[in-house]
This record gives sequence, C-alpha cells and structure tokens, in this order.
Amino acid sequence: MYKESTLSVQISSIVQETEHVKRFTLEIAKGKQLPRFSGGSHISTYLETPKGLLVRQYSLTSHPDDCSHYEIAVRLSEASKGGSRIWHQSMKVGDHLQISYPKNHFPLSFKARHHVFYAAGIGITPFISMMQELRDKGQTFELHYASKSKQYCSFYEFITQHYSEQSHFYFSEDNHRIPTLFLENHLVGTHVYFCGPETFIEHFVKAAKDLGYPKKSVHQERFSPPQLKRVKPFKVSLKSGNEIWVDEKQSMLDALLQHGLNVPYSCKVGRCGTCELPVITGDIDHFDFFLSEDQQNAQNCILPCVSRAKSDKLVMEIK
Amino acid sequence: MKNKAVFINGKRKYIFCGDEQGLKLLSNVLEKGKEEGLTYDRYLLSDLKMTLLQDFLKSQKMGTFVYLAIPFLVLQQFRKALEDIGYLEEDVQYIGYGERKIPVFCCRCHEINMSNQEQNRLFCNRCSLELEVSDHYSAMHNAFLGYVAKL
Amino acid sequence: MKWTGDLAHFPYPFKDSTYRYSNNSIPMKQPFCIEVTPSYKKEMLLKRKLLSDHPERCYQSLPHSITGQWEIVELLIDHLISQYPQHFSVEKENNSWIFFNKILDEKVEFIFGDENSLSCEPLFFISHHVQEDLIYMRQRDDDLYLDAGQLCFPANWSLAFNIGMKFKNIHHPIPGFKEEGLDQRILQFLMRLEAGTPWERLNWSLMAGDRLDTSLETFDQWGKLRKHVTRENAGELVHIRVEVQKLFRLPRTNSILFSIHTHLLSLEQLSTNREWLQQFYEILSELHAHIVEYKGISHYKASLMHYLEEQLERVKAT
Ligand code: HEM
Ligand code: FES
Ligand SMILES: [Zn+2]
Repeated sequence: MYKESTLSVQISSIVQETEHVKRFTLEIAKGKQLPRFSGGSHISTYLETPKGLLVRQYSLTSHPDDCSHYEIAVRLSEASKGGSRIWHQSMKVGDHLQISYPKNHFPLSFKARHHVFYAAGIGITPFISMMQELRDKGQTFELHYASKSKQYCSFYEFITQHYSEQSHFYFSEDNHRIPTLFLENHLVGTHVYFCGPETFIEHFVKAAKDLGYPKKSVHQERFSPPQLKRVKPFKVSLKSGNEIWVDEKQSMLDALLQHGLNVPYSCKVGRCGTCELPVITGDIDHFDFFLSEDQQNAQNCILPCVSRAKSDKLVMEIK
Repeated sequence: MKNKAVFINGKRKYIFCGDEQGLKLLSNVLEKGKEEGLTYDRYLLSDLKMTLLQDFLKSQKMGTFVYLAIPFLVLQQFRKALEDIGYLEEDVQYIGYGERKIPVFCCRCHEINMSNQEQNRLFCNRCSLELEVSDHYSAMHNAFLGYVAKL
Repeated sequence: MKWTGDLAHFPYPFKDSTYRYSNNSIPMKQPFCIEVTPSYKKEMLLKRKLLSDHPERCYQSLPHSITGQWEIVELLIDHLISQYPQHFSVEKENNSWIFFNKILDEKVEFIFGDENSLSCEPLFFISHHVQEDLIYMRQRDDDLYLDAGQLCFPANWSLAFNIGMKFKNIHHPIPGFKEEGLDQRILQFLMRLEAGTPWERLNWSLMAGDRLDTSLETFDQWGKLRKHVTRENAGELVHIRVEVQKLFRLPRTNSILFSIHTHLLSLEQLSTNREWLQQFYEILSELHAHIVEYKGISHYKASLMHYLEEQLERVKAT
C-alpha cells in the first residue's frame, strides 16, 4: 500500500481535556527534532489495528517552533469508525506510532489585514496554532467559539488565559449561538476562517457568499470528507477490461485499492490532489477542494477519494 | 486593467469612483446599479488625491465592490494603495484612460525606462544599452523586461 | 578560468531520444538538498566573489522572508552535517549555534532566529557554504512567490527582475508553457508538495563558452560567443549545461526551497560517451524550433550539427 514518509514518535502524556476530548503529547526520540510547522497545520497519524492501518488527521495544537514535541487533541466521536475510539481507549503513555510530517491545508492568508476565526466544538484545534503565529507576528485577529457549555469547551482555560481580549465564547446551553450577522460587520481586508461540523461551515460559507465576500477571503477546514448528497453505486471500467463496482458506502479510491490497484493518495478528503486519475468517458460528480472550476468542468480527471460518477460508469485510463 | 467597466453581480455595496472623465466611463455600470436598486456610493476624485479616498475605502465592510476609473498614468499607485488596504483583485475593477507609458526594466543595469506604447526598442537612459521590450511583466516593479536588442 | 567538467559525475539529462517540456519531476531517493563536488573550493571562491562584487544581481529578498531564510539555514546545515560529517559540523546549545566548515577552515557563531547575530541575512550567510543557488518560493494565499533568492549561476535570467513574482509569471517567457496548461499543472503540483517528500528534476540547455555565471545582466558580453561557434571549435566551445533542481517543502513557513546545482560539460567530453552522443544528436535533430530558439541554440545550430555528425562518423569508423 502507498505510504508517505513518516516520523516515529512516542506518547509522553495524555490529558483528559473535557469529557469527550483528550490531549496527547507526542515526542520524538532523544537527540532528534520534530519539524517546525506553520499555523493551521495538521499531521496524519497511523494507527496499527488488527484490521489494518488506520490513518487519521489531527491539527497540531503545540507551539509551531517547538521541535521537542507535538500535541494533538482528539474528540471521541460517536460515529467513529475506529480512529478516535482507538485513540481514546487503547493508546497509552509510552506507546509508539508513526505520524506524517506536518502539512497545511488551512494556512493563514498573507494578504489579510485582519483575521476572524469561527470555531464550533473540536473545530477549535487548528486555530490554536494560528493564533500563536499571529501573536508572534503582531497581527490582529478575533475568535468566535461555539461550544455546548464551559465544561465541554476544549482549551477554554488556555484561551482565556492567553487570548482573552480576542476571544468570545457562545455556549448553546445558555442559548448562545454565533450569529452569521457578524459577517456583516467585518471591514474590508478581513479574512474569515471556519472550522467545525459540516452544517456549521456550510451555514457560514453561504452567509459570506450572500454578502459578496470574494471566495479568496473565505477559508474552511474539514477533517471529514464532505457529506455527499447524491450517493449512488457505479462501475469503473479499466484499460485492462476489468470492471470494479463502487457501492454507496465506499469511496471510489477505497474500491480501487481493495482491488489491488496501486493508486497513490494522501489526505483522502479531496484536498491534496495526490490521488488524481484521468477519465476517458463518464459524467463525474466532483466533491474535491483541489481542482479548479475549469478543471472540474473539463470532466477528464477525478479525485477518487471523494468524487464519484454521475453516470452509471466511468471509463478510466488506468490499467 | 480594462478599458470598459463590466457589471458584477451579488455584492452588498458598490463604489463608483473616478475623476470627472473617469466617472463618465462608469456611467453604464452606475446606471445598471441604480436600475437594480443596489446600495452604492458615487465618489468624485476631483484632485486625484489619495488620502481622503483611502480613509473612505478603509471604512468599508466586506462584500464591497469598487470601480475605479482614472488616468492610466496614476492607476498603478492607486492599485497599490487599494491592495495595501486589503482589497483583493476580485474586489476591484480598474478602468484606465488617456496616455499610457510602458515602463521597461533594463536587463543590464535595472533602470526602469519609460517608453511609448508603440516603441518596441529603446536605449536605456542609464547604461545606453539598446533594449527590446518584451511582454514579460513584473507586478512588483510594475515594468516589462527589456532584453538585449542585438548581440 | 578554464572549465573541466566531471564526466563521471555528470547528471546526463536525457532518457528518450525526443525532448518535450513536461513535469519531469521525480521523488528523490536520497532526500538531500545539497551536493559537495570535487570543484567545491573553486566554485565557492567564484560564488563568493560574485556575491560581494554584484550583490544586487546575485541576492534579493523581501522583508517578510526572514523566518523562511532561517528555515533554509536549518535545513541546509542539517543536510550538510548528515551527508558530509567529515567536512561540516555544528554545535548547538539552545539557540546558540557554532557552524564549522572544515573544507574552508571556517567557524561561524550565531544565535538561531536572531538576525542581529549574523552580519548579513541568514540566506546570504548560508549561500557562502553551498555550491547550489537557492530560491525561496513563499506560499501566499493560493500562489507561490519568489520572495528571496541567491543566484550566482543563472541560465540567462534575472533575479532582480523576478523578485516578488508569482510562479506562472516567472515561467511566462517559456514558449508553449501556458498554451499547454503546463504552468497551471506544475503550480498545482508544487502546491501539494509535502514536507518529508522532496522532489527533483533536471533542466538542460546549451551555451557557447564555459561560464557558470551566465546572468541576464551580462548577456551582452557572454552571449556574443554564440556567433563564434564553428564546426571546428564546437566541441571545445559549446557546453551542455545541466541544472539539478530540488524542491523541498519548508513546513515552518509553508513555503518551498528550490535549489539549483549547475553542471557544465563540453560537447567534446560528452561525445566520448557513444550512447550519449547518438542520443543527443537525435534530440537536437528533432527539437522543436521554438525550444531551439528559447534555449539560444539557433545562432549556431548548423555548426553544431556538423560537428556532431563528424563525431558520429568518427565513432562509427572505429
Ligand atoms: C518552484 C521553483 C521554480 C522556480 C523559481 C523556477 C524558475 C524558473 C526560471 C527563472 C526560468 C527561466 C525563465 C526565463 O526565461 O526567464 C525557468 C525555466 C523553466 N522552468 Fe522553472 N522554476 C521552478 C520550478 C519548476 C518546475 C517544478 C518545473 C517542472 C517541470 C519547471 C520547469 C521549467 C522549464 C521547462 C523551464 C524552461 C527551461 C529551458 O528550456 O531551458 N520549473 N524556471
Ligand atoms: S487523497 Fe488527497 S485529494 Fe485524494
Ligand atoms: Zn541599463
């Protein structure tokens, strides 16, 4: 199976942050250094399970210049297919694992004159390192953070301690929500960043669009693949003449991998472009965030980790 | 940089800005804005001074779209000022009119020479090298590269 | 200075007998950004002289590139000491670093991250210890910008002109690049470049003469030699110029380091390898006119082909 180059780390501490969230500190062997990273970066973690390797992405919440350790925060998700469950239930201090180098699909805008972060729940994690970076550079920002309650609010203490002036909390238990109305008040030059559940992101992205925000001022981070609205099974036909069936519960990438095809991939959420494959015929339903609109409209390539067929069949250029 | 303003839909507010001649060039989009009952400001830049305009543009909210119509000769400095405020390329249409000079970067001594639009060869003011004007453009220098015209 | 190429270590750039522009980047087997060759001392001398005599031509940087420059210092020192421990070492105590270059018998002390602890910018400093030219491409919003660079051995382009420029604009002069959509593809490829997985590619061109410093600024001097190529002197005068280019993602600033190591070899030397001679001849015979023109071969292509044909005859006769 395709695997990127990785770093070997050991869990050196585990902190119960809230009822559902644990923070893990990852250390590299003595004498070695972890790479520095930029605000908003994440790593892939590789978990060995009896069923095979589980790859999950988590934002780095430690200081970008700290080369001695990384920190991630993991929320136990009810719908978990295993990733967060393993982190919460099986991982112990002293355990070793492989992680990727830091990657950033959610970088701070360089052009922005002011940054506004909108977070819901565990969506707070990428903003921790972004706020650190902006503070170091002396740039202005504000944080609007929605959570169920103070007890369920990860990093509450850390944020109030370090960024009290910039931060605003909204607890649904107190009937407080972040109004999208806020978007109306940002001055020209502001960039907005959304991270949280799909519905939260969609809601804010739409509000920004309706106001006429240019696309480039609106940034969003997803850790789960986008929810597909029209999922249906389809067939993939290969150069060799073989046909592969993709059912509604699996991604096309997973189907190809299961059939032993050596398709490279990395993010699995349609962000990095690594899994791109050429398509000869068939209607493609693009769900990625990588290809440009023109490239999507050309209908001649697909990112199979998220995208699917609109037609019953895709004819592919691969063997 | 366009010669004619094109109407852009879906913004919460429009600013039509220019000197007298410039505002005339914007009349088609301004009319369109009026027709559609959109929120807009008309800003007469009578003396082509930037300071007041800058304050005005800085106080605008996200979702504002700017049409700026002024002579080509001052357009670049306004573009720079708007970018510094945080306006993205997508937020502004720049309409130029009048005389145009082409800045040409000397490949040998880095001097930026001003050439006429029709000229495709000139001698560098500083080092006298004969330059051939290319279409290789640097936004940072706001200049086109002049290559050695003959060996 | 007369250049003698190193035949044994020459990065011969061709695989097929045709050449087209394409994204010919491949993942590196050995993830090292620098190479110290037998001509290290000679090249460092030349490079340092150029840096001090023509700083504007050879060095450019924008103010916000400093963090990235430190990142490059860290990466290069790390690669130097792990690949050439006999030649380079570093002592670190917290942020106080002492760097030793044993080839040149030099010692540099500085505080990592503190610009005042060096007498120059960090990229300028580390440039004095590696043969490679170093270009820092900063990712800003959805594009890559040339935000700093040290360039002593350019293949006829100007760092001073290109500073601050976006990736696609930099490649604007290349014929067919935009039309074929290659610039967009390569930009996307670079945007997805990841730390820990560096890539490399080879670029080639031909030149009359054996200067490493073929800057655009001095083209009016060295370019003239193109007119002096004859079938008799082509073997000695014409050189193939190969750039080993390496691409590293710098995770601290989410930017890219593009390093260029330039190698020269006279056609006389190239011709000593039968297969190379044959393949190179085929490539040139078939090379599209716009690429011939762009690479600056048009002036002397006829003489060159005569020369290569003679060599092929000679080889066949033996
Ligand atoms: C990211 C760092 C890169 C930088 C800073 C860079 C810069 C340049 C520059 C300055 C030139 C000369 C253009 C001129 O004539 O003014 C050039 C040429 C070229 N570049 Fe890049 N480049 C980069 C990456 C790449 C990559 C990844 C490719 C991959 C295919 C590529 C392909 C080419 C080609 C084919 C040429 C024409 C060379 C020739 O025919 O001699 N470049 N590049
Ligand atoms: S794996 Fe990243 S886009 Fe498909
Ligand atoms: Zn000049």
